[in-house]
Amino acid sequence: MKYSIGIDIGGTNTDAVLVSRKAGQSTPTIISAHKTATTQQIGQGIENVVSQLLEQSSVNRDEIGDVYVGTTHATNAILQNQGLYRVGVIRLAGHRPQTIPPCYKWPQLLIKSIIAKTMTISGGFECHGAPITPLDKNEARNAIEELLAAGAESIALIGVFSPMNGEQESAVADLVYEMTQGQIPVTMSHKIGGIGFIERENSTILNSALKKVMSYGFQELQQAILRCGIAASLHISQNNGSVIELKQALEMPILTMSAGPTNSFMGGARLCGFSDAVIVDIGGTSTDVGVVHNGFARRCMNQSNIGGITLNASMPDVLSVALGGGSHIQFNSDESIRIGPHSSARKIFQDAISFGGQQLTLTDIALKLGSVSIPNTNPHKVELSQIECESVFQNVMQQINRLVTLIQGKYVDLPIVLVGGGASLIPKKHLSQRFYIPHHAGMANAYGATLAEISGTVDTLVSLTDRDKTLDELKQQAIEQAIRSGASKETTRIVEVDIMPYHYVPNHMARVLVVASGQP
Amino acid sequence: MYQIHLDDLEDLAIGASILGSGGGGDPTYDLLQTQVMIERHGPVTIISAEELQPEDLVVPVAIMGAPLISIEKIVGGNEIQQLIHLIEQQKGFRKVTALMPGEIGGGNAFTPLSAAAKLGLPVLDADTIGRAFPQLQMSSCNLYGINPSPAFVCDSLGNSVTVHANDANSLEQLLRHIVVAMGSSASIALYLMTGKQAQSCTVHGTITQALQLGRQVRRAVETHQDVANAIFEVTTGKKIATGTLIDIDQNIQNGFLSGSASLQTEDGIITILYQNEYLMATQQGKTVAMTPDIITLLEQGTGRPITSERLRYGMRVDLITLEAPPLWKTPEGLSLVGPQIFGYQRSTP
Repeated sequence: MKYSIGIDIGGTNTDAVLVSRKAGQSTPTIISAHKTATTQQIGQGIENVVSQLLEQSSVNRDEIGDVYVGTTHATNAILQNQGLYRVGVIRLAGHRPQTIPPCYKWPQLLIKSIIAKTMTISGGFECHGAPITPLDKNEARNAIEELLAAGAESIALIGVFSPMNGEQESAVADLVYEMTQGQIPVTMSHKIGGIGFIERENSTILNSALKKVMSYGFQELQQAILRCGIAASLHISQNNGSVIELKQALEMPILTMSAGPTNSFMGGARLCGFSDAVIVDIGGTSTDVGVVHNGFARRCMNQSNIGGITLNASMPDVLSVALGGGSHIQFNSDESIRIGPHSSARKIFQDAISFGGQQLTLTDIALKLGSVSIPNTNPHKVELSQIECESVFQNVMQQINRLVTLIQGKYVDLPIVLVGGGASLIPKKHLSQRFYIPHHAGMANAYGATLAEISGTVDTLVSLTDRDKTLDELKQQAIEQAIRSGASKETTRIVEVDIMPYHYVPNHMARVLVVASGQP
Repeated sequence: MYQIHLDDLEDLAIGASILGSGGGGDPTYDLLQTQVMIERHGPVTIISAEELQPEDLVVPVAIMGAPLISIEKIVGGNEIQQLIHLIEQQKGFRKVTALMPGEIGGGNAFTPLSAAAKLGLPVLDADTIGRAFPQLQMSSCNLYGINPSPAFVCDSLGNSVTVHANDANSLEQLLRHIVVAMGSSASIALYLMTGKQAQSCTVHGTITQALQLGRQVRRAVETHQDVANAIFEVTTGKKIATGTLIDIDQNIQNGFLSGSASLQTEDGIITILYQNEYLMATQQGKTVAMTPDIITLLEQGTGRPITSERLRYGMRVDLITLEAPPLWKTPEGLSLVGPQIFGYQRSTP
């Protein structure tokens, strides 16, 4: 029997589950679960929640083999502009574009605090593979020197079409290491991946800046786990639902930014035993809806955006609506009902009518209807008729069904899994036979973290003239990458192939994204 | 005469995408580039065809090639200036007095603006298509007999070629090869005209039309009004359906992105056929919209036009059609850009 812990560090709550897994079995069983408030210093919250988990079970500390953590730490660091490195930016673009500068349209404050200097040097590739101009190493050395002199603590390298060929970026990275004796961290854009120079540049710069706060955050995390007496290996969830080791997370903090929704989608599907499902995650303030396909959260092919900066990070495909357990309910004079967007969120225990407050929330309606019961509450204080209460949930279901219809497309037969703290509020009579609410629905996010596999992703631009051979090679690359990162050979397989052909380009050029995944 | 300011550019991007009929490329990067240039150099003067002098030299410009390339190898910023330099060195050409977009649909609406801001040249409120089409011979200038040659092409490294072709179709073939050699994206100038010719051989008022369309969409979204209806207040057209994209089947044929998208509506499935541009929409075998009319998909909620390369499964969209500029509905126009050119049978809706 193997034991592991899954932790989800959200902005409000830190959730954790202790799970057991029989040898050769991929679906773990929840032994104990605990929820606590997220603390300013993330270590304290982790210590609290982990010691509670262990107290509630008979599992010994030294039996814990793995700890899986999903966190929004990186996103918060950017939004709050705190603890970020000053970045020196080098564009490898031999045609020296005079138009869009790096960080165009970023918030001025963020530019001021994180950008040391930006330079353009020779290099870059054409789409057909030849260099735009050859890399000039002397020019590169001079540029690095200038950036260091300007106070750069971290270097971001972005070359034109580098996802097709990362050689030039690697050569410049080697120069940086050589010149600084490995003291200055480097982010290469081809490791970030994706076509779209500006979005990839944005992601690369932010990743460079985030290395500081993430190294502190993750070290705190590791120490907290050690303080709990657990010597397990630490895995960090990334946006696509697989995990990376601590070392890799420190290199690529940007990959960990949107792990929360991904984990709850995958956790929700697995709690019900589905590999394909629509997941509805009802929280305190908002509801996220997504799709799980082959056990993985479907990714969003459009641009993502953090704090007003467009990124090409691979984020889960999520539709959200401001509707949750703490949502304020208002009956208008024309008999229409308004749910949210305001929510009592964490303050529901003071605000809500059933808890002795003044505010009518969705939780009050559920208590009044008896779909849930919470000790020490007075639902009879809610002065609404049965019909009125039912109409609120009719409205809730209309909103949820709308998002489900949108995201499911033609897959109208997929089961719908309700998870999150608010899942239990909805009276059963409002749920069609397609709906499932698993046991531990409120812990789907932390449980989802423990499911994570180790993946390898190839996102590149290739010629598909010899289509089958090229695709096979890319699949092999993805598989090798997953295995190198720690996935077991026997379980690693291709889980996603996405081909986006491009027009007007010779030789059947296409952007191809291949993901391989395997169990640790 | 009026000026295009920084604040107008996002409206122009929306409007140009609507007129692109799904093609012409997503203008996101073109918009960014032009915003940078207007921030640096100030607003651009737009003049109407009536304001041209007969002996003016009007130059249509465009970026030819794969939209994909220019989102990775972003334009250098000096290309159009270099083309103008080439033109002015040619025997028999005077000073360039105005630029204009070769194509209003998609990213090319912006191509003359960045250069005009930098060089202080005015931009003619017109283009040579009135929408987007994939090939150079599909131009009002070709229809009205303007010589496409000499044509000028240059890349962002400063390489350039001047091409003298026998006709527009040959020019399309020749330039296609040159553009590929230049990295599959290059800046071009062709169908050079006098002011007098520009007055009679171009599609007038299309920059203003794009701005108006974009403004209507923005205001409708801001005030929660119906976007399609807001569009029809300024341009003749109709809403065909609202639905969800349930299938996208695409491939590349002869260098063009081609495929079909299935839209699930309340009245059944509508199939939209595209080759870069959306060209035909059918419902139970009946044609409900067809090129040369403009066919546009608008994302519900944001009102954003969806270009064919951004089609995504599960999107909820309005399908609308706008009337093509009248020149394309004539027998001569249809022989250049009608459905049979794209391999479709014209049937009565």
